[in-house]
Amino acid sequence: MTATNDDPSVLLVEDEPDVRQSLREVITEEGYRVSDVADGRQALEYLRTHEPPAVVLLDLMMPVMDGYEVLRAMKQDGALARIPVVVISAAAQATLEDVVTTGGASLCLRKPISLDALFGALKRFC
Amino acid sequence: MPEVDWSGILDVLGDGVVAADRTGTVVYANTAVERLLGWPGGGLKGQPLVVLMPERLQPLHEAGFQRYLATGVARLIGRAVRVPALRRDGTEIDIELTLSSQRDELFVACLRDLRDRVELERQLAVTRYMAAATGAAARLSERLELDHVLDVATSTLARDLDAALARVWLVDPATNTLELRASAGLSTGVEASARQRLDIATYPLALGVVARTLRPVVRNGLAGDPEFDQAWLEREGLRAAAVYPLLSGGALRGVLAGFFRHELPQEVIEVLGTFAVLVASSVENARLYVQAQAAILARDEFLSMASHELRTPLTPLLLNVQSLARLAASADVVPAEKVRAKTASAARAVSHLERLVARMLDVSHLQEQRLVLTPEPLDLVELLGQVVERYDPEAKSLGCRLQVTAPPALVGRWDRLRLDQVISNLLSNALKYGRGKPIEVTLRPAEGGAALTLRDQGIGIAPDDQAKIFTRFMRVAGETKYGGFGLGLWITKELVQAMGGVVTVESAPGLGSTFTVLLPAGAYAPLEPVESGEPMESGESGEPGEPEHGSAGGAA
Repeated sequence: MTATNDDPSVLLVEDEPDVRQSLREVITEEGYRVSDVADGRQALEYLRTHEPPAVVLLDLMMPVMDGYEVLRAMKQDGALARIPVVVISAAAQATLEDVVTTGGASLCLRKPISLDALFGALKRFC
Repeated sequence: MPEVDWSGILDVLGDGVVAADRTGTVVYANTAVERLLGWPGGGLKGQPLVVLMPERLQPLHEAGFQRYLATGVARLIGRAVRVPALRRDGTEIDIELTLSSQRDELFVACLRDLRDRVELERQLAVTRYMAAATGAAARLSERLELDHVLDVATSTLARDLDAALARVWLVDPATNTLELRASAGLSTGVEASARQRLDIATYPLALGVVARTLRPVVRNGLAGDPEFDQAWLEREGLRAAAVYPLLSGGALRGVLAGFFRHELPQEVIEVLGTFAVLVASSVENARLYVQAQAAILARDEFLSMASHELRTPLTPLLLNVQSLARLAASADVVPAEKVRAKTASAARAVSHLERLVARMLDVSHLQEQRLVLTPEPLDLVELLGQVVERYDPEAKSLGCRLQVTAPPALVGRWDRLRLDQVISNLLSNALKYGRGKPIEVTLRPAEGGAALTLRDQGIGIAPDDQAKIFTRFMRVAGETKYGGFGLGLWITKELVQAMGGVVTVESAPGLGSTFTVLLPAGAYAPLEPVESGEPMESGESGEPGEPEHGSAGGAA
């Protein structure tokens, strides 16, 4: 399956190269368009210069700018505030739930992420 | 009715009776007073009364006597007072004295021996001190916090053990100083909150002596003693001091000091010694408690970080395996390229996990000092090349250029895996904190060993943080930005030290960091740089048939 311009797009924000690559691969194979960046600052740059993606997959612990800062910046930016954000992190479950209830994320997936959980989340927001 | 023989009656009295005339001359003394003051056989009769009192009290007596004769105003008559009396042999004893006068012509003194009572009082004081020490033991063990222990120690010493001033200093091993931590009793102008510090090596007074010799200094009669501040003693009227080292397993943890306005009987000194031992063990318990709390906190943080680190590589592993399973379920023929890519990615995740687990094991081995090094003939240049090659993909993905400068070969005997780990830790740190800017890696022979330098142009390290980065579980950069156990540099330092080397850092925030590892030929074999990569003959210290590129002569 090859994604076309009409397919929903996903922005993947993840610093760990192996994690980023494997996520990009399976998401692409599932028929989504994926753009990926390695830290929070690149994510905001991308969001401010591209068509809004259907969903942002956002890691929390990243160099330069972490996921918390990205979420805050998105919520304060009218153009970005409504883009759904799915947090992907290996942090403790309680931390992840907190990001959803108070940080403004739409959903959290705790690493390791299964294909079913990943595709379930993408279906919901795309 | 028979006639009363007053003299016979007075002679069977237990208390002494002595009478003097208006000139102060003794006209009568009973047997008891002769015995009590050492004037047997009527020797006291005809003596001036002042022979029965210490010289220092004689003017006082004279003045009172003359005043009474002149004015008839009595201060002491009819009232029992406790005073010292002088015996003929020059010693003093405590007596209770009651005076009366007959028609202003005869003055009668009744003397009661107080020695038994003084002894009883002394015993009571010792009993009270022991009870105080026992009570303190109970209070000391109520709570484990150091401040509580120090407070109980000083307040007990001042309030219950009658010290005018009680203080505790604790040792700061980093600076080899005593730091004033608690004080009770008189105000000296140096309060405990000021945390006054004394240099153990040089402080001349008793505190310094006790801290250096690890033996108590207990003195009665401090006048002229060079180990005490004489001006201060005089100002405060202090007459005795008891200064004890607080020891644990022979190691000095602090000093307990009590200063007294009275002299200390031997029994009291013994109680004070026991009390000091009690305080020492409580201080040590408090110290261990703080350590245990810190260790628990560090462990919890480590477990949380370990969970995060171990879960991260599980993601590509799980995704690749599930993805392969899906492909296999949906198609009869799965493209070989896809299988290769996904299994390779899964394998990378597994080896990433393996490295994490190995690192966690290293931590426990290093902690228990069970690390065993296995040196082997090794070309450092070749090893460096392998590590750099392994990190090349990561460097490329970060847009970071790795510049390596090294001689053709640099051969010695080292533990290959550990040295690999040292270089890997430093290189992965440089990439992690290097902001994608070029990293210079330089290897050169130095001081009979080797010097490895990694210079990045990354976020750098604040001066205050530069010592902390080599401690366990420490990441001075933001926790939500940089993952990791916070163990890499600690492991690096421990490994390099185990090899007899040192690792140092030079850095400034925003300007990057330079880490330098100096490895001696030291522990294993002399190390000589060789000018070519040609293999050399393996020396006698090499394993037979083992090395492809042998040690530098093996002349250990």
